[in-house]
This record gives sequence, C-alpha cells and structure tokens, in this order.
Amino acid sequence: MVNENEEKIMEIIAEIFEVQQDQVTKDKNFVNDFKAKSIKIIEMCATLEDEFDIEIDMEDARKNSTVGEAIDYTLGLIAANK
Amino acid sequence: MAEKNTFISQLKEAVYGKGIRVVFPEAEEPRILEAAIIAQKESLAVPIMIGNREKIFQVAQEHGFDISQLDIITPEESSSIERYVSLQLEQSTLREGAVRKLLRKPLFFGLMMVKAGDADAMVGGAVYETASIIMAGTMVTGMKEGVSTPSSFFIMDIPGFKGGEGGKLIFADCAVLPDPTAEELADIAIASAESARAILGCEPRVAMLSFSTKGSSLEPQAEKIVQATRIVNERQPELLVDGEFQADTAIVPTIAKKKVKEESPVAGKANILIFPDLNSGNIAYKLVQRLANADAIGPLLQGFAKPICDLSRGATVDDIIGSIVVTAVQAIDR
Repeated sequence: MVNENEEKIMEIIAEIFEVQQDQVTKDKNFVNDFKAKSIKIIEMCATLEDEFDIEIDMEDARKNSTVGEAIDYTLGLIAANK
Repeated sequence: MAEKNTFISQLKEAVYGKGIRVVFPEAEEPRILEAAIIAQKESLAVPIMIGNREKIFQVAQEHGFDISQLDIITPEESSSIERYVSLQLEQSTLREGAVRKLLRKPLFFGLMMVKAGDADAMVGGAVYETASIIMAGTMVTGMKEGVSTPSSFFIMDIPGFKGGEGGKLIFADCAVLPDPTAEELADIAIASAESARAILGCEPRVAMLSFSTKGSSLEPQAEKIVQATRIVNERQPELLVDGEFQADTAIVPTIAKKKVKEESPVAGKANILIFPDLNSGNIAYKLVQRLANADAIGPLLQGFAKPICDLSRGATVDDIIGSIVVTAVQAIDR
C-alpha cells in the first residue's frame, strides 16, 4: 500500500528530477538512474521540507542513494514531527 | 597554515585593514568563533557570524570569548531575507517555500549574502562536509564565467626551489575531481590561473602535466592532456598554457630546452602544475610536502563566482585564520 505521503514524495521526486512518475520506483538510484547532479538533491530536500514542514539535514539526506531510502528517511521525519 | 608560515604573513599584510567582509556559517563552532575574534582584532577581516544568536552567545560564554564586537545574524530574523528569496527565485525553478526553507540554513544564507554583495567571501567547512560546501556554492553563488567545474588547488611553498613563482607552485587539482575529462581539466587550468593572479599576484604560466612531453607518447591518457590544452587555448587565447609536459619539463629550464623544440612561454618556467587526475595530484602534493619539506597551503576551492573556503574539519584556530586570510585575499578588488 502506498500511503498519501509516500505518493506525494514520489511526485516531488518526479518533478525535481524531471522524470515520468512511473519511472519513480523505490529501487531507482538518484545518480545512476536519474543522472542526478548534486544540486537536484538539495532541491529535492528543500521541496520536501516545504511540503511536509520538516527540517532535513542535507548531509544526512545525501546518504540516501535510492528513492526507497529517501522515502523512508522522509517518512521517518514526518512521523517524528507529529 | 600555521602562524609561522611566512607566506601567510605576507598575505596578512595584503588584507590588513582592507575591511573584507567574511561570512561564517558555522558561528556556533568554538574554533570558528575564536578565529573570527582574532581576525577582527588583527584587522584581517570583518567577520559576519551566521547562526542562532542565543546559541552563539552560549558557546562564547562557555569558552570565555568576548563577542561583543562581532556582527551576528540569525537567518530567520534577518531583514534581508525577502530580498534573498527574490534573488534566488530569479535563478531557480524551486518553489518559493522551498527557497525560504533553504535560506534559513546558515550555509545557504551565508552564501546568499556573498552573492548579493552583502559580504565578500565565505569561510566554512569546520563542521560541514566538503561536498556540502561545493553543492551549496554551486547552487547559490554559481561558477566563475568560463568555468563550469569546481576544483581545488594547493599553494606549495618549497624551500630551496628557485623556480615557479618565487619558489612557489600552484598544484591542481589535488582534492576534488577524481578523474577529470579534458573539458574539466581545462576548467581546472583556467580557475588555477585566476587563483594564481589573485593570491600570488603573478602572471600565470600553466603546465598541463602528463607522463609524455609534446607527443612522446601516443597513449590516450596523454592525448586527453593535449585536448585539454587545446580547449584552454581556445577559451582563453591570452593565457600562457602549454603541454602536454612531463613534470621536469615543466619546471626545469635545462630539461625543457632539451625536450621542447618549439618556443614555449611555459616549458621550464611553469608556476602552475595541472595534474591529469586526482591520484597524481594528491600523491604529488604529499610527496613534495614530505620530501621537500614544503608548506602545502590548502586545499583551497576554486572556480566559484565568489571566494569560498572549505576548511578541513580538523582545522585548528591557526589553520582557520590562515584560511580566512587566503580567502580574503581573493576578494580584494572584486
């Protein structure tokens, strides 16, 4: 089951990395699959911070190399923020 | 970058009383606070401390620092924030809320101050990782015109060496780009030339290094250096650059005379050495440092539109003061 927050995170990832939404699956690697430049990782974090009103440590977030890791990391922060 | 370093002493004279405004996004770090206080007292820079005001005062109190003369800015309380948001939105596809979130972070706020002209340079990296400084610098200040890749350099001050620029050489890149393409090598060369002008105050003579001199090897690794040299020539025809050269050809006039048949403004008298990759650059600087007892000042970031310094996370207060001076020198006359 994909919950509402997870869906929104995937939507943001598709928007920032300029890929089709069906390309955004948990196993995708930001660098290898999306050819992501580091600026895109910052943009993703800032957009997620804005969307969910959370604070992301950019240095921690950079260790998330896949979509799945980024989703789990963000959901963890959302849960901690409640 | 110890106090005893005579080259740093020369640079201190160059920045003394110039009022270069240096922004510190890690103001809650005691080493940074102490270095900033000293830099201000000695008129080496005008420090601007970014961070949580209460936390900064608490750290100062714990360490017995007098910070009454320091300018402290907490991003979310700053009256400049709206102007900075507008500036960032002009060059970004990010939504406004995301830009606001970013600019609440001291690193991004500090860099935006430099971009907006409210500060002249940034010194960070005592807490942040190098990758974070590079990412944020690329995003906020952007790159120098004609350069698209951030890189780094060392100033090697080599006792007893008569060549280079008064016994000094610039080595690049020894810390950032693992396996640069020909285009990236050209970026490193152009940025290093600019660094040499700003810090050593000299006319750059750039040698593109290889294991081959002027076609003595036809291996693709040497061909890449030939191509990089050509790109630099195309982009900056007035810059004195030549290669591919072996290291001795670049810095020893008698060897250069033997190995380079045509007239070269660089062979035998280079003051900047561009290494083919990070392996060779990093090995070279460490060997020269250890075997020739050279002072290795750096790594210093280059290629950004504004002077940005990435400290080593193990930097001492003296190291930080040295970095403040080297960074401030790059901001003079900008």
